[in-house]
Amino acid sequence: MYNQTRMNEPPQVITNKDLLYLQDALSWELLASKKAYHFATECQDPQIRQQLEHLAGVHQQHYQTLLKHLQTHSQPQFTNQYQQFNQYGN
Amino acid sequence: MFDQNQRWPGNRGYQPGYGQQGYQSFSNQPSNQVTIKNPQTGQTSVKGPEMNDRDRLNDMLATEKYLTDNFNVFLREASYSQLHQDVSQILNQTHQEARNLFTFMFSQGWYSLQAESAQQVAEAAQQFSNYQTQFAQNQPTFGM
Repeated sequence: MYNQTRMNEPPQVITNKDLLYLQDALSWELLASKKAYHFATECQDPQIRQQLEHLAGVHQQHYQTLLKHLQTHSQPQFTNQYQQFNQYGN
Repeated sequence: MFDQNQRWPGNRGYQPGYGQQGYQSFSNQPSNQVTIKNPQTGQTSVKGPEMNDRDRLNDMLATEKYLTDNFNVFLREASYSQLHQDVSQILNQTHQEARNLFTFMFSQGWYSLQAESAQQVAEAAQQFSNYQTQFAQNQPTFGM
């Protein structure tokens, strides 16, 4: 199916490399958010505490954005797509 | 402290008595280097082994720098376009947060910058203005 027509850009498929980077990036964002939150609780200056809480939120949003890629590609229509690719790969 | 190549001078402001003269803008002095620095806020003057607010912000800045480095690699390697777009946006936002941390820390007087002398800048401007003749479009034979 996919190898019959020429693809102008990569299909919406998570490659092995994408998955490795997504896993890495999710752990970076989780750690960054937890660290910012932890620092905020320890903070003396209210202005700085607010900045750190803001950072915790930003990194949590980034985490959600990245996680969505894994979640949508776990849906049935995507898993079918992966099976098609696997057929051609083997 | 965190990175030898960092463009923002790291912990120079920690040196006691450094830059007590307060804020100075760029001046027209031909040769003397000018320090650009805010007066320091007093709240991190205690230097014990405990982390203070300034240490915490420094640590978060190091984290943001780490993230921008690594998300840049991720962005370059991403396969499909939606992933590329999202990672690109995350990279940009992370740069913005790093910048916000830096400007806040600068406003607190924790960073000091050295203005380059006007003469050094003028010499570089002259040198690279002259190099413009090397571009193909600036050749007399271009398009002939």
